[in-house]
Amino acid sequence: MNLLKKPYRISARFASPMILLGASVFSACTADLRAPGGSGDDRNGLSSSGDGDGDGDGDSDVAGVGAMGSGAPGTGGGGTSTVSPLAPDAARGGLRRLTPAQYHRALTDLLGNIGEPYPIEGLPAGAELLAVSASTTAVTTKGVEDFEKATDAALDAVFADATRGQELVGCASATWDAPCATEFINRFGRRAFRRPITPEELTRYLGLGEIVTTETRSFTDGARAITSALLQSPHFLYRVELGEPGVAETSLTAFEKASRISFLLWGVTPDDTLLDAAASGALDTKDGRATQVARLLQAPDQSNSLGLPNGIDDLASDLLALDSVFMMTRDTELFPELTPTLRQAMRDEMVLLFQDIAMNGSEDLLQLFDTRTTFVNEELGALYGIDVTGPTLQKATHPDGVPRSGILTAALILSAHDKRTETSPTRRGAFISSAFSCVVIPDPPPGIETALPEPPEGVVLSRRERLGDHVANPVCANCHDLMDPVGLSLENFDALGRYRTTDEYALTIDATGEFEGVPYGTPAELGPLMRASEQVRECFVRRIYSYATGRIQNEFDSVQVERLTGALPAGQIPFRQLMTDLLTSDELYEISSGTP
Amino acid sequence: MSLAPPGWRFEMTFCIPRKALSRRTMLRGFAGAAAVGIALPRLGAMLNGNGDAYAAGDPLSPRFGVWFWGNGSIPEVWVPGSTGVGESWALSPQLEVYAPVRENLTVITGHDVKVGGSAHKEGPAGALSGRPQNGQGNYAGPTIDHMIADLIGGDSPFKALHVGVSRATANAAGQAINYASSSGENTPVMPEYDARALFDRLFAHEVNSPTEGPNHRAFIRGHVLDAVREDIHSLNRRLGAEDARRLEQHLEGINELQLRIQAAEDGGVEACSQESLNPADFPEVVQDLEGSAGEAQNLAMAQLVTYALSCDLTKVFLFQHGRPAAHYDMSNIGINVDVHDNLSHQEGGLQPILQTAMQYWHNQGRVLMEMLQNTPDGDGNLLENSLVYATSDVSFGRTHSVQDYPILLFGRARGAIKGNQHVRRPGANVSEVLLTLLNLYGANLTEFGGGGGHVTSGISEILV
Repeated sequence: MNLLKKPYRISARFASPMILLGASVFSACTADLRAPGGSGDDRNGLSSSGDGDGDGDGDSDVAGVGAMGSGAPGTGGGGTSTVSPLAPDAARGGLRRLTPAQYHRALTDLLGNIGEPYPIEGLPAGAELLAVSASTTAVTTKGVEDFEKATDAALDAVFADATRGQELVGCASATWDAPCATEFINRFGRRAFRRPITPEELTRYLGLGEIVTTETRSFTDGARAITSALLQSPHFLYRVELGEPGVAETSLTAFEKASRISFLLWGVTPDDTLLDAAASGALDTKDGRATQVARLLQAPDQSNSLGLPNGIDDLASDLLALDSVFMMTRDTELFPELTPTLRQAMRDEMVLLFQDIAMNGSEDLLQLFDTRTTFVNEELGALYGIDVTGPTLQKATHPDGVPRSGILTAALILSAHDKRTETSPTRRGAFISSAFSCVVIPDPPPGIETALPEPPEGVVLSRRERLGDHVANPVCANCHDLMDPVGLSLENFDALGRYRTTDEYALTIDATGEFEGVPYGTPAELGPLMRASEQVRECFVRRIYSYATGRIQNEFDSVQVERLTGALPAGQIPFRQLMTDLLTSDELYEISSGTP
Repeated sequence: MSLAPPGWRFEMTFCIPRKALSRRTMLRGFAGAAAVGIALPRLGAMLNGNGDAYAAGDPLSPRFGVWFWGNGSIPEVWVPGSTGVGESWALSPQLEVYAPVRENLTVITGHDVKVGGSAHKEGPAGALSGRPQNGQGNYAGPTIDHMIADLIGGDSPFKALHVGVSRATANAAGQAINYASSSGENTPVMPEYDARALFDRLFAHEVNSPTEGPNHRAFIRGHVLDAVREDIHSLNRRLGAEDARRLEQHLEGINELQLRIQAAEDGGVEACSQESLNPADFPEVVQDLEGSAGEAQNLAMAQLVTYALSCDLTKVFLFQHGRPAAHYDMSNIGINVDVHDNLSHQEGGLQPILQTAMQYWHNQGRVLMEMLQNTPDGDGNLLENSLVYATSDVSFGRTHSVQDYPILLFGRARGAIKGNQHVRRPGANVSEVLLTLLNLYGANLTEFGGGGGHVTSGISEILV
């Protein structure tokens, strides 16, 4: 079958007039999209993220990007919060499911080496950060089944070795041993639930252990059953953030604070030192929290395969939608270079760069936008034109003459928002707008022809010329002006992020652009403009705050973001300072006093 | 190059009931019997003289399925030119592939999705949940598979099965553009793409492997889950409505696990023993990044769904052939461009290349429907005794139109609907179809849907 060959052309199609968009959509890109929670009660979806991409598609493309400003205030925590311009309430507390990464780390932390992690249900991508998905979505029936199987697999690893099982439990009794079981439930349960076990829970778990031991005549079976139940309890699988039970509290408990600190900085359940600090009341003071935050920032003992703190990996991954690199599809004939190892290298580069800037050097996260530093191995280096050998990523500098600009021109950020056969300036621009400016572009309304007119026979147009229709038509331009000018300036990079000066039609690329009304000449100039943008700076803080709280932001949260941003040195976001300010503030732990 | 899928080479083996079966026995199956490597559609011996009910008198419950594909249709070649029942209507070019199951096919055209919303989201939201998408681009309520599973699936070891063929995604935000199923607001259900993993879930589980002597493992699991359930109950009292709903969803999972443990303790589900299927026949899909809609994957999932229905492991399934706005990899039939970006949205005219791709997808749908039709069930076949609602995320992809939505019904719901029919009702609401389906399964609703999806009547024309 002789099907289409590249570059992709379709010879005959109708020229189709754009249909006038509805008024609500027309106003969507002119309204102040920066107001957090502003359009929150739009339940018809026009406040959700997406692009309005007309370069051959019409879908939303913002993969898992937490874009602020959509969603109803307070929905993250459940219930509704009263929004008052004078004294906005914090959202109500709620449940935050552990992400698969956090879950597996917590299991390993509690049980020791458990081998290859059993895969569990992931978090569904929504219009917000995955951290928000974790506090708004539910585990499916299949997901509950996964938890049981993952628990079994982990406990098989532990209890296959009698000595190891006994070490975990703390004694080697043959028959039911209530004192031993009590000690185990209190000790192990505190780590698993991230707070002391209540008397009611102790009774429940002792009852479980005893009935199983009696039935099977094996104390080991009884202890294992207790462990299994603790690890399938909602108190382990969800971060419970409700404040003190039975009290009309306005703040998380000290133990819940410990979890926020630990999961943000280390990506895992709190260690004993942190739990002790909670028990002693130290975490109820700013100074006490500062001591622990400094400790965790100083000595990240949890580290990923790159030797980096897991907390940083998780944060970068969610903010930059890094896992989309594993979902993107690319034509294998056109892009044979895109191997699984290259995808992984693209992701690792982002995490290493984020870590390098956040924890070393000036620590100013805004450097991410214009740094010339990169981390490459042989495969990724080849893509960037940097000569390195071997599979290990090494620090390097982009070659002179290639107009790279930090993460904006990183292979992952570019290619994750491209199409199967070609670049997508619109999608790239939409991602940058929502991820870094917190301006979410609505989906195109249904019923309009989103395909761009084909050029006349024999005429070859550049992507910029074809997309010209977007800006020529005021209805389209309304939204596309927020995406296309930035996206088109990145045309110097192909759908894998390789530098080029001519496109696939052999036309010379015009990579000029415009950001916040300022024209620029090359993609290398985009980064400094974004780094200098106050809106970009506040957006970055906003998204980190949202990641830390797991909430769709409301008015209260907006006030906190402004306060946090204002306390930082002008024009910078020093990472350690932001983390310290955030985690030591009282406001981070405020919840509204819902009386369930 | 042949576009024809492989013939149905699935060898069904048969079980022989070993003793009088009560309704209860249907769940229990062969108590204590050593597994004899056989599995079995429901045979006459278990049924009453008419073959339409169990001997004990309980009616056979009909089964329900959803078959979902991506990128809609091309209305000009989708909508049949004539309407009516039997010989009075003719299959359209795009529907010709379903000729072998025509007796079990009802084509519904002219209906619009009226919930409003954004491209590729309003379609699934309206056609599957009958409500507008919510502010996060997610389903605002349960989709039809869950609504009907609530009516008929509760006592099955698997309340509903969700399987997928192509996972190619639009990589987009919002769940209504990523999934075809949601058990409630913000609770999307992802399909199982790994046929081997699904095989293990269905057949390698102890639910089908009754053990000799006291089953300590089932005893322990049951008590562990009881403790978890108590933790959930005590925590639930402290939660706001939204979180309570999330935790109740979790509790449903615990309940289903316990139901399966109970079935295992009772001796395992009737005869669905794993020896009758060879695990090696089921491809292990670790991570098919490109989302190809391969024939092997489709066939394996069709077989597993057929078996699960036939064995009463489940009464409800959702077969997500592609996602909304599916970027199917079609290079296996020589289409190397992106079917979504380059064909659905860009190809001109009657989109001949896209038609080729669509033909391929529906051929795979035909494989499932024919397999169900060829599987004996009571006095008829599995397809006759089921109803499968087939739809997509848009009507005409190039414009994201949601008018004249593509809707097919396969099966006869045990004779409740006519079949072999084309009904055209211009301007009708897609929710009317959903209301009709819900009432067929006993919902007794006089109204259904939210926002523009609210309706107060269904489609009587398709009912017998």
